[in-house]
Amino acid sequence: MSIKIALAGNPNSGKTTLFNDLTGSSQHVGNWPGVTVEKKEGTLKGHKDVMIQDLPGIYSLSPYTLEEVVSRQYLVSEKPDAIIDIVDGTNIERNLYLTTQLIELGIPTVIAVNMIDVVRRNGDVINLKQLADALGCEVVETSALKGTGSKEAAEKAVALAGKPEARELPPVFNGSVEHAIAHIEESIEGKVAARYLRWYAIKLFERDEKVIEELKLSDTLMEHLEEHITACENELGDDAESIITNQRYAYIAKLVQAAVKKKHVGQKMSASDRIDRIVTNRILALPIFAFVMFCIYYISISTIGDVVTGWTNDTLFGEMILGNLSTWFESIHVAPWLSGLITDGIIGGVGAVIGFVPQMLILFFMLSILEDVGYMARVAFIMDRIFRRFGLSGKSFIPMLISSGCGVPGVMACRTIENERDRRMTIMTTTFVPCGAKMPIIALFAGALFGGSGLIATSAYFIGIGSVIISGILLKKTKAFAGEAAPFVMELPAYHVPSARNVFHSTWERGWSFIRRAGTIILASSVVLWFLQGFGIVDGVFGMVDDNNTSLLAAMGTVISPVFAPLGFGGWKATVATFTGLIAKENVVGTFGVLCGFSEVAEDGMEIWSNLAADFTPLTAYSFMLFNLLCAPCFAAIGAIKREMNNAKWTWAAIGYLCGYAYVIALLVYQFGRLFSGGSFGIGTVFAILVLAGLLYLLLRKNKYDERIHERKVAANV
Amino acid sequence: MFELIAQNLATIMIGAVVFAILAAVVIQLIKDHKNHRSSCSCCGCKNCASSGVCHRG
Repeated sequence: MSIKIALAGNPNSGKTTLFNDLTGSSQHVGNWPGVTVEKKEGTLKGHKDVMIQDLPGIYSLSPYTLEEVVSRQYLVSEKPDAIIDIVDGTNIERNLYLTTQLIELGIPTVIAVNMIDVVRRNGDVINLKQLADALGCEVVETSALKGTGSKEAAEKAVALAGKPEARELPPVFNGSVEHAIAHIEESIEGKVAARYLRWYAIKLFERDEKVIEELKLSDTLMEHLEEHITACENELGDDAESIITNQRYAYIAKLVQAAVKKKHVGQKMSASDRIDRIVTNRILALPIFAFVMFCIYYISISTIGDVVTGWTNDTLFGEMILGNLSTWFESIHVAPWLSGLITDGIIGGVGAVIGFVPQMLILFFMLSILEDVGYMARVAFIMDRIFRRFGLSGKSFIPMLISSGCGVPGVMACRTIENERDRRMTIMTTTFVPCGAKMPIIALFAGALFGGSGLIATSAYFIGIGSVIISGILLKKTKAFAGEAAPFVMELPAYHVPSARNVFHSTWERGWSFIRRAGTIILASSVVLWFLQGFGIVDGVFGMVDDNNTSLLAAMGTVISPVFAPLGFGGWKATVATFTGLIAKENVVGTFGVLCGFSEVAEDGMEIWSNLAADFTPLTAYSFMLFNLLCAPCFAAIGAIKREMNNAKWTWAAIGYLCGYAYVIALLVYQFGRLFSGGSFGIGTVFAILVLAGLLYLLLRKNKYDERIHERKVAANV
Repeated sequence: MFELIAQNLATIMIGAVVFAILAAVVIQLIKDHKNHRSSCSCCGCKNCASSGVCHRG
């Protein structure tokens, strides 16, 4: 028979790191709360019959958030054989709140005091024996990051699994509360499993709606229970839920005072606090964030990344692979069409994308360091301050952080936002932040038309965030999204040296999927594109064409291209690239690789992207880049939007909004850019002025819904 | 017939390899689609922290 062990604990206490350590799994670990939304399973290394289940991080077993509902539901209904409660040793007082609730479940529990290395470094001492005696549980010290103690915790949990709990519960509550709980236990005996009797009794005392709904007690019994609860409330002068909370904290405070010796009692600031004084400073925070992001993009796109990508494109693909392959094909008399398919189609398309892998890896590596060190959690805090002014909360920034890797999990992460209006709005706007797949587009144009400037990538990132803010202002003034931003509470994890394992794993995970996509979906698309751009009808005869301007693809692109003419890129190649970008955003680059003759240019020894540069000016390139960064994401992300919206109307609204917004921004950038750089005043300029006026009106108009909320508040206060 | 094959042997062999690779790619894409593995930049839904919510069982 298999044993089920649940890993429970506060957000960011190290559960997923411990889970990976115990199971040899490679789940994503992020140094911000909320990485795990749903439980994950794995087998304990060396024990095929022991299943470890990683639960989402929670602060309590009260069903206030989705994570709490998931964890609580699992612990109560799926009855694990044992629990390993991961307690952050550096923040033991708050973490023990959940512990006091877990041990009431009657499931054998092992407490793993994690981050013990940091506790020791701080000079603090935790008396594990005293803690174990008081709580009636086994207590072990662990450092999940360094891999110490986790095995011992798991072995203790395996030994305890399934054994009936004979321990005495800690005296958390005073006599009056225990009296009421005892009465409730007596009343519901036989209606719930004996193991969970006390837990249900406490929840009924707290008037937990979900438990009341689940037990379906008769009205007479509920009235009887209510008498005991009310009597206790009257005696203690507080409501039942607050009584339970306060008494838990009072008990924990006493316990911590006895079992934990802090080296620095009082207000001495930790290293993290000192760093936070600067990086989350009201004035400095945003410039520091902008500078950090600039450095990251500058290093990955312009300096080291540019050198390595240049070598991959020019030397590896251009000279070594394409040069040698073309010569070999000629020598063995391969048919020109097949040679063209391989060199122009497959290598042209896939090679163009693969060429950016070094830049991507450097970018992902640095973003992973920022995540693991704890800085990105601060960014959510910084952004909350800004977002709140525009009706969004910092909670919306967490999906955006995830979106910088990939839009799909970014959209999925929106489900942790309880407020439906905020959730929908975040789903609609989270893909504005450039994902990894959009980076090759940025790198391509930065290299081809802007001399490899790091400012192009940095501007794309901040235009993405700016678009979220603008959308917040626009949408919050509409009936569908009006309302106050939900409160955002987030614990800032202590800074720590990034774990090489986490950083390399995260970099490889993202980088490998990029390569995998190039070898699958981009390859397939490149072949189709090569066929469509290589064949056409000339003089009524279908066949291969010498000039791709007479191809089938050109014919299709030309029909749609006038739509993009006001944005400055009305050519059929740019139009086709925009549409193929919907399959996968890297495909924009792959498409140019096929259409601009990647192989021919390379063979001539010219700059790989000079053909592309000939089709664009810096202004039209920037407009094209902006449109492709801000418009509807790839099909995979659109699928995620559809799943999360669970409504066809909202899905289409999201796609329509993204495309419309991208069109407006690209139009304004191109038309005004053209005007200010000496272009003539034309019908496009008039159109742009009208659009700008409309946009400004929508941004600056009064929010009538805000006034109504204010009126309602005043009325409620009266 | 044999002469034609002999003349185009390189094209046939390389064409067969390319066709096999393309077929494998298409089969992989269909498999991924059936297994709910999206083609996003994060190794598909399998490694996503929220995967359990979308793909129960």
